[in-house]
Amino acid sequence: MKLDNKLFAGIVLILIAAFFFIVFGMAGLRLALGVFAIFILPVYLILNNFDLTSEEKLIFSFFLGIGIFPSIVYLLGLVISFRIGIIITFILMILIGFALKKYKQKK
Amino acid sequence: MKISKAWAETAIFIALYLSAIYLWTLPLQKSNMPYGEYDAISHVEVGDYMAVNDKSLVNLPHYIDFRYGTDNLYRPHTLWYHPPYHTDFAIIQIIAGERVVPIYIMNAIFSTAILVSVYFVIRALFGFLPAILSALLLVFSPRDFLPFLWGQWPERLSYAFVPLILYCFYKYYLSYAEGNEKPVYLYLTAILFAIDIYIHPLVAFHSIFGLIVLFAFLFFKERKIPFNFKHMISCILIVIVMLAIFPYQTGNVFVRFALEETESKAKDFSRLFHWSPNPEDFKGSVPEAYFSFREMNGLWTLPFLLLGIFFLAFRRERRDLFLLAWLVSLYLVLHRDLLGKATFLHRSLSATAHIFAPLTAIGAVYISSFIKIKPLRDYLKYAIVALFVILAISINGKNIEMLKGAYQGLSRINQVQYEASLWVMENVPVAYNVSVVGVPDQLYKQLPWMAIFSQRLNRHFESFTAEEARQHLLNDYIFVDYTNSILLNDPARIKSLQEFESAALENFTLLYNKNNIRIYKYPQK
Repeated sequence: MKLDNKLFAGIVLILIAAFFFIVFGMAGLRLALGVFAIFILPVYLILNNFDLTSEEKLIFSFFLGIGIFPSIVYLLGLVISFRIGIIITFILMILIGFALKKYKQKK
Repeated sequence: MKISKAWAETAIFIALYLSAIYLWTLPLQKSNMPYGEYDAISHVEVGDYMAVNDKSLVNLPHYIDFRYGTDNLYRPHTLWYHPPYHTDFAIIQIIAGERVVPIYIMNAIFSTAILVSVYFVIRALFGFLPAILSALLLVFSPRDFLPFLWGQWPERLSYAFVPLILYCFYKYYLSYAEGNEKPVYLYLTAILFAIDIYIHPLVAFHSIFGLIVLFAFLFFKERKIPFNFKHMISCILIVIVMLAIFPYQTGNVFVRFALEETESKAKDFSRLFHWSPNPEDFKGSVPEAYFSFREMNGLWTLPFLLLGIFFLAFRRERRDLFLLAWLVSLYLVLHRDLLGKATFLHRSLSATAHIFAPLTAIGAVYISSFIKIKPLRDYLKYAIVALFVILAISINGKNIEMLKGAYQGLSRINQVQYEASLWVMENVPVAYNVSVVGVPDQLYKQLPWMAIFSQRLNRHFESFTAEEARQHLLNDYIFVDYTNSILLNDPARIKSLQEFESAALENFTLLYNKNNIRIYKYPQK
C-alpha cells in the first residue's frame, strides 16, 4: 500500500500538533493549529490556483500568510473589534481562494 | 505500507525542524515568564497591547510612548514598525489564549523560519542532502539564536525572506530565458519583498543587493534581460500599494534612511580582506566571540566552505550562480561601512550562516564528485555526510548550552510581579503612573517588563531626586516590591524597604498586599 499524500499530510499535522501540545501544553496546541488555519490554509487555497509546485505553495503560503493576513486584520482593527477582524479576514481569504478557483475553472 | 522518498525526506526535515523549535525554546520551557533585552520588551508590548485591548495600535499609549515615542521619525508617537509582525503576535495570542507563552513560541517559529526557507531553496536547487545538512548547521548557529535571545526578533524572520525572494526572481528569470515566462514568480518576488520591508527594512536592503547581483550574474551567463513592461509595472505597483497601506511606517523608513549620517571617519580598506567587521567597534554591546568564525561556525566547517565556493565558482551552473550571487551580495552589504553606512553592521553579519551553511554542505556533499568510480563515489559521499553530521552535532551542538543557560533567575520578572502587574492593569486608572520601590538598579529591566502586563508606566522610585520622589509619592500608585530582596537574601534592603513603608507611606491607603508586594495610593482629597 502506498501512503496517500493527504493521509501523510494529515499524519504530519497530527504529529506536529502533538509535539506542540507535549512541549508547551494547550497554548502550544492551539498555536500550532492556529498557525496552520490562519497563516497557511487561506493563502494556500489562493496559491493553489497557480502553476506552482506543492512545496512552493506550502512554503509561500506561510511566508505570504504572516504578511498579508495580519495586514488586513490590522486595518480592520482600526475600525472594528480586532477579534472580529480576524474572523472576517479568515472568511474573506477563504472566499477569495474559492472565487479564484471558480474563475479559473470558467476560464 | 510504502512511503515515497520525497515524504521520507520531508519527515526527516520536520523532525529536525521540531528539534530546533525544542532547543530554541529551552529558555521558555524553564520558565514561562518573558525574557530578552529592551528590543524584546518593545516587540512583546506592541503585540500584547493589540490583543488585550482588542484594537489595532496606531498612537502609542503612554507606557510605550515613554520609551519609543520618537522612534517613528516621520510621525512621532505612532507605531514605528510596519504593523504585520506585531499583529501576528496579537493574533496568535488571541488564538492560543495566553499572554506570554504564545508570543515566545511564535517568535521561535519566526526565528527558525530561516531553516525552512534555506532547506526549501537548497533542496529545490541542489537536492536533499545539501539542504538537510544546511538546516542542521543552522539549528546550532549562534549568530541566529543570540540575536533571537537578545530580542532582535523581526530581523530574524526577515532574513528568512531573502532566499525566497532570490529564488522567485531566479525562477522568473529562467522561465523568461527559456521562453516559457512565468510571471507568477515575479509577482511573488514583489509581494515577498514588500513583506520583507514590513518586517525589517534593513534586511530588505540585503534583498535588493541580492537581486542586483543575481541579475548581473544571470545576465552574464544567459545574455538575456527579462523585461516585460506589463509585468514590471504590475510589480512596481504591487510594492507601492503594499507600502502605501502603512504610510506612517513607510514614511519612517524613508526619513530614517535619508537622515542616516554618513560616517566621515577614515576608511580602513584592509576590511575588504575580512568578512566580519572589527569587534573593537562593538565593544560593550556585542560579545567578541560573535565576530569569530571559529566560535560561530566551528573551524571544521572552513575547508568544506572553501571547497563549496571553489566548486560552485568552477562549475558555474545557473543554480551555482544563485548561491554565489547571494554570497557576493552579503559581502557587499557587510562592507557598506566603507561607503560610510555602518549602522547595524553587526546585524548584517548575523546573515552569514544562511549562506555559509549551504556552501559548507555543498562542499561536503560534492567532494566525492571528483571520483569517477561510482560505488566508491557513493560510499565516500555518505561517509563524508555521516562525518559532517557527527561534527555538526558534537562541535556546533555545544552552542546549545548558550540557550540552556539563558535568562535564568532574576533576569526575568517573577510570577508574583506578573500577578501584581495584572492587578494594576485591572485596578489602576489609565491616567496614573506606578512608582516601583525595591527593584535594585541592576534589575531595572523588570520595570518595563512589568509595564507590559500592567499597561501603565512604571518609574524607578530609587532613581528620583528628593523633589521628584515627593511629587511621585503624591501622584503615583506606589508599588513596594520585596520579592527581589527576598530572592537575593538581602536583609539590609528588606529592612530599608520596611522603614520606607512605615515612614513615607504611613498615611497612604494599602490597596494590594499579596506575596510580598504591596501597592499604595495617597488618598486624594
